[in-house]
Amino acid sequence: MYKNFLFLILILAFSSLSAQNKYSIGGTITDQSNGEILIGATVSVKEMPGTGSGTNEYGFYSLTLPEGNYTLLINYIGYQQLEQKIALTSNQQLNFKLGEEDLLSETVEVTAERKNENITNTDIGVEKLDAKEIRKIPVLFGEQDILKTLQLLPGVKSLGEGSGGLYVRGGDNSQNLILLDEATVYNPNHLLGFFSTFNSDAIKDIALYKGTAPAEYGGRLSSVLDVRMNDGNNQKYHLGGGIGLISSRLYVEGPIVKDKGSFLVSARRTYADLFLKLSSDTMINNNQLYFYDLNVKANYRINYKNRIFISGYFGRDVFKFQDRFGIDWGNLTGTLRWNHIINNKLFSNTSLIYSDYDYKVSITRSADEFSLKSIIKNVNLKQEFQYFPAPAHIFKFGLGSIYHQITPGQVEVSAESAIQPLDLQNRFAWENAVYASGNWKPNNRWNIDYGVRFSSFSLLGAGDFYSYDGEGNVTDTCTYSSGQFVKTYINPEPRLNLAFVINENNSLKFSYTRNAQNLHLVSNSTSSTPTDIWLASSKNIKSEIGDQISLGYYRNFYKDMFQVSAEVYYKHMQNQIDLKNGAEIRANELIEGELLMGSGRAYGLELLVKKKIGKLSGWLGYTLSRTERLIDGINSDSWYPARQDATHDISLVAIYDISKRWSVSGIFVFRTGNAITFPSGKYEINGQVQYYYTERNGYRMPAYHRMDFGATYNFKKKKRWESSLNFSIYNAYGRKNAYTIDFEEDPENPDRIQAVKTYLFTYVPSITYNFKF
Amino acid sequence: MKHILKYLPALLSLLCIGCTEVIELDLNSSEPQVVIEGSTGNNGDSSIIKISRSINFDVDNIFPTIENALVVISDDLGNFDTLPEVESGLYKSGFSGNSGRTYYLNVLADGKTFSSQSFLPAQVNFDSLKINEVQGSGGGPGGPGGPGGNINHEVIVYFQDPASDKNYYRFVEYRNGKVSTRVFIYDDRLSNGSNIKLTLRGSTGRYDAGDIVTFEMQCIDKPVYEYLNSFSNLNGGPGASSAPANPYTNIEGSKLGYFSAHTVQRLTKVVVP
Repeated sequence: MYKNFLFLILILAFSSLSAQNKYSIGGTITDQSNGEILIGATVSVKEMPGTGSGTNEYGFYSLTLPEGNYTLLINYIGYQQLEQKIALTSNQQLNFKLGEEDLLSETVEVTAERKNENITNTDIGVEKLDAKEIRKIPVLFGEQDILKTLQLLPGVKSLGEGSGGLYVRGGDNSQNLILLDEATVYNPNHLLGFFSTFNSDAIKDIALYKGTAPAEYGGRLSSVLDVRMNDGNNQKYHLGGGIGLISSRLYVEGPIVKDKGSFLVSARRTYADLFLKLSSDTMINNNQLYFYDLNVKANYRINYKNRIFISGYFGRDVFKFQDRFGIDWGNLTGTLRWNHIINNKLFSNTSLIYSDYDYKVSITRSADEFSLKSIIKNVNLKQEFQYFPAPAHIFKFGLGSIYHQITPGQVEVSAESAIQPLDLQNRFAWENAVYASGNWKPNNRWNIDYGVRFSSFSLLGAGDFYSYDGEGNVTDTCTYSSGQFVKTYINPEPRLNLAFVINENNSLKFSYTRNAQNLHLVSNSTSSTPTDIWLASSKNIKSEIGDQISLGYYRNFYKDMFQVSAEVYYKHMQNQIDLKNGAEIRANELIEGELLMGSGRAYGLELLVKKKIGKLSGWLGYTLSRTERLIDGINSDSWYPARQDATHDISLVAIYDISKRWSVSGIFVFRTGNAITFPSGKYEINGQVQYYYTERNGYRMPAYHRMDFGATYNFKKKKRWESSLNFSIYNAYGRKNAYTIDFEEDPENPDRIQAVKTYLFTYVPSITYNFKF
Repeated sequence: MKHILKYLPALLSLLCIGCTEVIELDLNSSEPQVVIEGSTGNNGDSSIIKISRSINFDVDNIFPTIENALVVISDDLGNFDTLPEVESGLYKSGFSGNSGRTYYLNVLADGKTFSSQSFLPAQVNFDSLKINEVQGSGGGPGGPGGPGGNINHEVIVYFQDPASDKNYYRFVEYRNGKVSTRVFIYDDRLSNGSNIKLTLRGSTGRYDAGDIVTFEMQCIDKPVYEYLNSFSNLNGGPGASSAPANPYTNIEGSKLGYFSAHTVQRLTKVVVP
């Protein structure tokens, strides 16, 4: 069946090749002030409504038209429209530079063509944000954060403060493919999730695919978060940054060669722990707690056809509790990319990518002095071609090969420690994928994205590999030599998006996708801890497979001022992993024997009203959803709500630009409490009261809600000097949202047990000074 | 390893942001469950079985005992003994175990039958028991120890772990003959065959001068170790399990409780002023 599907794709791709006297225009679209490429800018033909092309992720567009005279309209949201007349008698290369529009001027012409893209494209379950939008939203400690902003969108959840991660449409936080300039970020959190690894100074563009992601992405079940770094200004040098109460940022950017190449270096560090030093208590001033990160990027355009990029990220968290315990962790990524324009119709991108995540835990003052280190890393080579045979057709195909290495745990000890050094076997895997996808607009009504990805994942030797019985005891051990294939999983992953445009204000969309995931995260704690463990698919762990269908209705009101969407989805997930009760996951060679398998399902309705134009902008989102798990041996083998299951989820975001100087913003969120396991009885063992649990996640945490406000004052521009002050208050009405609920003996009556709620933040004001020159 | 997670609350309080408050929760009621807690020691130690019932969460901690049960312990050689009820819900006899034997427990209570088995492992003795005075580490939030500046006691035990087997240990603390409710367990997963100096951290706090402190070392089998270990892995708190659950019991027919056959060796110290 899949063979037929691939054949169909090929036919679709080349069916529109029968041209008479057609010529193509191709080129790049950039921001005129800084040379940054614009992703998703559109080139449309005034004389042929509905005909056009958008720039790809590298700012390249291509348009093929019959011979003739045309007026091209070049558009990008937040930029002034550019009009260009052309006489098309041969293939042409046309690069455009757009200037930003003045957001406060009321003269901005609202044209249907540029603002109703949400109606006509095939995007369903896709959220796109640009860095400017994020800057105005109030945040904790005044530190702008894309993950926190994404959590304000329907279908995207967090479990609350202090448990970082994204939960997208019922998926787990380990089921998101999080990419920074194409490199996998294994742990997107700093400080246990209070901050993300993405420094907004360095970020250009964010796309989150909640449903069907394009076929070039793969390897995770639930969503794709594609974050692109700024290229750096290729016109002028700038130094900028921000000074906040607990962290500061600094960046520098500028041309390497004007118009040809640029660089960006951006750094950030928190210094909350410096305040600890002020304490006279040695128990407090002797601790460390901070993170820092660094983003670096450079690009150089060798000539029109060839451009190279190099980018990297390095971040580290350090936590030291007195002199007895320490943990540090961080991500390291590097991307080397070559864009090559083969001709006006064919674009090539080649990337070599490295990702690494590691953590080290040290116990430094006890008889059992030791440290435990764990690493996961990969090297990834990708080749992609984008082919633009006709305005109505874009075709992408490519392949990728990833080599994974997991070092699950190395225990190092001091000389007198009773603990012995231990080195769990490294695990190796080779992942390959080929894919083909296309976008086809047979007429003005239909817009179709289709694609298929074939992925293979092979666990490789060397090492001993174990088989287990139902009880988790080892029944068989096989030894493989280096490079020998232990187990291979091949998964076809088809996808299809259909958009049917009813009229210029209404459309209906449908999507189906299948995804496979072969790296699995196991975690046994409430918080997402930096020491959660990654496992590769093996003889015991099968590929996780997710199927999702979604249906959406989109409607724009008042000349596209309001964008309204309603989406429903159903997702089924196979081979989901859970842990046995009380499983030991750290430094355990036989960890696969501690796993339980099952499946998951999630379904929901997402409503969103968005206003992007005018002084007042923002959105109101509502999600009604259910997420459940069925795991062998848990909850009497019946479906139970997953932890991230939250029936209702409301978020309201409003930004108001009062004047050129002042803008204010506010958000409100409400969410049903997470599902949680509480005891339903108690008993006595070893003279201690213990709790009796009757069902998994049978209770709810109290509902989570809060309101934040922010205000930004822009100082008068002096020559090149720009600066602003940002004030915010997080949790403005001081809601004591439960972080955890524990049960303790009542100090007044030892015969009673009381429930104690821990909450983290009430009224967190902050102030940040941002500057640029 | 697992105490790593216990430092998470410490991290949060470093951020000076964790606050607590007592709340009202309406918890469901549950069907009472039979709870069996049993042990058979070697070296002339006796067999003791306690049978009680679970109760609803919102009532006082008074756990009803189950009387008039039939309790039989036997071994894989065919020896057996019926345990008489010495006080309400407590069944006890001089039936003692030997290393290398498997012991079976059969109970008829509340009209239901329950059974269990446990292997009595080879004896490992501890060579010495030390009680040291240490400067109270203050512990900080979530950390061990008492309030800052106090002089506390730490207890250290020394023993040679045999390289041949996987070993699981439990230590029971008695202060002036009264058993403590703390559970100290240890396995040689990361220290097989070593000379072990084990700080029983949780025993810090301060003894009084003249206290008679006894530690009992038990060699236990894997299911019992896992059962006891589950309690520390499965309880609440920020660093604890996301999904607390009842530990896997080794008693068939019951959801709660355990039966352990184990070795017994005790060392005693008198706390000097």
